[in-house]
Amino acid sequence: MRSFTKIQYLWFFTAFISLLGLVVTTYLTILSIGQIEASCSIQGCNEVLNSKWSKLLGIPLSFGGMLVYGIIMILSLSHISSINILTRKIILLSIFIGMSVSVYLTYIEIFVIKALCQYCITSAILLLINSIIIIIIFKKEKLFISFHIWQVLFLEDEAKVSANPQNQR
Amino acid sequence: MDFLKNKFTLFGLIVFTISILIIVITLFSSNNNNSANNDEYATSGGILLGDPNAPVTIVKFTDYQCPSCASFTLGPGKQIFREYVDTGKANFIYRNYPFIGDESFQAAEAALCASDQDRLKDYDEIIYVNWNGQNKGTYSEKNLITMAELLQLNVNSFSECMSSDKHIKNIQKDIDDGKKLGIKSTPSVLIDGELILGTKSYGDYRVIIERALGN
Repeated sequence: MRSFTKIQYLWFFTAFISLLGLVVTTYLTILSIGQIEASCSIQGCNEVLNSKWSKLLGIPLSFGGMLVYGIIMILSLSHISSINILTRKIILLSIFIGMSVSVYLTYIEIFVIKALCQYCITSAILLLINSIIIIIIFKKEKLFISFHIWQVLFLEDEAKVSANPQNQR
Repeated sequence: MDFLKNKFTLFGLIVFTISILIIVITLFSSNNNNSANNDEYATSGGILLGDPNAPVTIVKFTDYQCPSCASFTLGPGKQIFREYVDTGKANFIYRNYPFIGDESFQAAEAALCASDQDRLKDYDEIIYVNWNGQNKGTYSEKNLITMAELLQLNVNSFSECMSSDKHIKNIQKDIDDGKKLGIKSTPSVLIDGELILGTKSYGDYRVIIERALGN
C-alpha cells in the first residue's frame, strides 16, 4: 500500500477543506441566483444576498469563491504526486485574492449591512484555515525564501525545487 | 499540463465540473420558476375582502416583518385595491407566510384578530407603516395592542383574541398551502393562479389583472 508523507497528507487536508468551501460557495451561488428582486427569501442570508455588495457586474461574488476553492482543490490534489512551482504560485495568488475579498466582505457584513450570513462566515473561516495550512506546507517544503506575495509570484524560480532534496518524490 | 494526468487531480476536476454544472442548471431553472399555477391551494383559506363573485381573485402571501411586503402593501397593493377591489373587478385574499421570526407570527395573529372586527385592511397597513427592522420588538403584543387602539378597535376583544391563540390554526394552514404552492419568498402574489414573486410595479400587476379580466 502506498504511504504518504506528512506534507502530502497536508495537501489532502487542504483539498478536503477546499471541497467543503466549494460546497458552501456553490450553495451560496444557488441562493444568490434564486434571489428574487424586492423580496424576502425564506432560505436565509436575505439581507446580505440582497445587498449591492453581493454581486459584481451582475455575477454573484460567491461564484468567485467557487473558482478560488475549485482552483485550490484541484491544484492541492495535483501536488500530492508532483512538485510544480507555477501551480504553487497560482494557489498562493488564489489565497491572497480570496482572503482579501473575504476580509472586505466580512467587514461590510458586520459594519455596513449589520447582518451576518452564516454561509459567508463559514466560507471565510474555511479559507482562513486553508491559508494557514498552505503557509505551513510552504514553510515545510522550503520552496520559497519569503512569503511576500510579490516576491513569491515574480522573483522566486524553480531552481529552489531541485536545490532542496526534501522535495524530491 | 502534466499535473492533469494524475488521478487525484482528475477527481478534483470532476467535482469542480459538477459544481459548475449545478450552477448552470440552477440558472436555467430559475428562469422558469414563475409558472406555478395552482388556484386550489391559493384560495382554500385566508381572509377574502371585496366581492366574492368578482371575476378575478388576487391572493397575497406575506410576512409582516418583510420590508418588501411593506413596499407591496403600501405601494402597488393600495392601488390594486382602489382600482380593482373597490370597483368589484377583483377580490383580494390575505394569507400569511410568517418565517422571519416570532414577531411575524404574532403580527399575523393580530391582523386576524383585527379581521374579526372587519378592520383587516387598515390593520394590515398600520403594521407595515410601523415596520422598523426585523425581530427588534416592533411587533410585541403591547405594540400590536397600541396599533389596535390607534385604529379605535375594541381593545378588550382584540386582547382576548390575541391571548386565545384561536387563529394559529388558520396561520398554519396558510403556511402549509404556501409550501404546496412552492413559495420561497415574500411577497408572493397570485393573480387568478399566476404566481408573481417579489414586489413589482403597479403597472406590471395591472397588465396581469387586465389579462385575467380578458382585456
